Amino acid sequence: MKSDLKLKSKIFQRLAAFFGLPLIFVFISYFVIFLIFNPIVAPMMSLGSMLFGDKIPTFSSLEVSDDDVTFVNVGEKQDTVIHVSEIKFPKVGQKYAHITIPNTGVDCDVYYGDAMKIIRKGPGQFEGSKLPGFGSTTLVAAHVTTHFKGLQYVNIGDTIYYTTTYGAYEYEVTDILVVNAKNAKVAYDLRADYDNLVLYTCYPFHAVAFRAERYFVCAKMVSGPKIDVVEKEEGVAK
Amino acid sequence: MSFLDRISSVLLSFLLALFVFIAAICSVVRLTFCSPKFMVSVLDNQNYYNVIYDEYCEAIEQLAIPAGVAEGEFSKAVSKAEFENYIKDIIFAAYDSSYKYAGNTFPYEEIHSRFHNVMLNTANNAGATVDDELLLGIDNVSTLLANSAQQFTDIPFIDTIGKYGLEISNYLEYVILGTVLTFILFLALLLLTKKWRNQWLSIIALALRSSGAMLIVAPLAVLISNVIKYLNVDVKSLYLFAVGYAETIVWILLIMGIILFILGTLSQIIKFINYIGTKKIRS
Repeated sequence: MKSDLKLKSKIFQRLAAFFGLPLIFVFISYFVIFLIFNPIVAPMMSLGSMLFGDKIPTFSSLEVSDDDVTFVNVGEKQDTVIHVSEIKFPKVGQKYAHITIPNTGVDCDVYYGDAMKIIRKGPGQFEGSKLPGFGSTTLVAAHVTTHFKGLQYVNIGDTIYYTTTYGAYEYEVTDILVVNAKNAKVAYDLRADYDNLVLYTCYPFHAVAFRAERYFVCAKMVSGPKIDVVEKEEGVAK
Repeated sequence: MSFLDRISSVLLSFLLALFVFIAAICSVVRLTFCSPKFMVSVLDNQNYYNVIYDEYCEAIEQLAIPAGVAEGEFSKAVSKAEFENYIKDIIFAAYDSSYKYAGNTFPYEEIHSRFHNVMLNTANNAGATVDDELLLGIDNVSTLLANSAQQFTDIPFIDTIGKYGLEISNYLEYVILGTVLTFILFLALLLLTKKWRNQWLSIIALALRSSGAMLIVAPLAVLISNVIKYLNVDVKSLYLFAVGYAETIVWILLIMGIILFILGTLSQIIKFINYIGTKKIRS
């Protein structure tokens, strides 16, 4: 019995020496390293906090959705008032409208957002502009070589049909401008207090390489539902 | 064996373990950070060349439609294999002291003229009048595209990494040589000293196990905590490269530590077998 205990104790000692000593050495060596590099530990820690975030990056890029959307037919819901709560606001990269300008070839879906990735698919509305019916400017861009190639055939007085998921709008072209890209903002007013649609693309129409000018087609709303932004219950304007 | 002898042998093992640890760390840094081949292989394993090429194509194709060129035409100007070779050339040049800037190996003029030709062909096919204005426009777009290609083939801080790697490479070689020689010297002294001759294998075994443990603990903590994955890099290709590079180094350290620990354990077993054998002969 005694010899058994002695043997067990010996085995325990050997195992402790086998694993314990290397671990003690690890702690001592790491402590020595810490002492040696102590002066640069604090700067390294602050650098580390800059280099590392609190979550693993996901690299989600902008998704342009090609899902089919139902638009209101031309002529429907034209002179009504829609409450803002009835509108499903589009997400960036989603289709939300369809534009048609008769006899010009412009007949395509409009996306919300005007990032390069979006306007590769079709005309895109600048998110900083208002949706139709909200009483201000709707600014839509597209490439001159594809979807807005037909803008060159638009004349003052032409009708633009702009059907959205919540209402069908008609606009009448009031002005056509060519502006240098650097001064493009003179062609529209995002704070306008009336419903208007501004379509623009690069100019001139027939050229390879980039173009320094922009071609603007400005139109005022003729018909279409207005959006009521007044709070239903409290009657307070948003 | 007296208590003092035991303490001495343990301290001797610790000293030897430190030498092995330093030599192992220096070897890993020498084989990884100081080697362009290692960087190239990490990029290969991380699928970096495909990811960066896709990112590059996505970037230049966004310019195709505004430039009046059919989508896909710009991407054809530089193939994936060429793109990969440009990246590899830049990496090797970064570790070559004869190059001041590794990015200079990128054939900028050639790529520029390729894009120029793509657009000129498109203009000719469209029947456009090729005048000075059009040529200037084409030249501007070609410059933008060639700049983009150059940016995507470049790896951030590659010049600094390469030159610093070159600088410390020789220093590390001296450190490795110095520690290995000192280790051998200690070993020889142990074998030559009558008092320690019987103990040399257990001292070496403990030293190898300890250096193995030193190399295992920190990398294991890094891998378990997954801290490398939290690297704050927004660009996918760059993130893959940085994470892959760091993780591979950590894995090499860990594997090296495990190998040393196994060697230490084997030495201990050999020592034990010898001990049993000697005991049997004596009895």
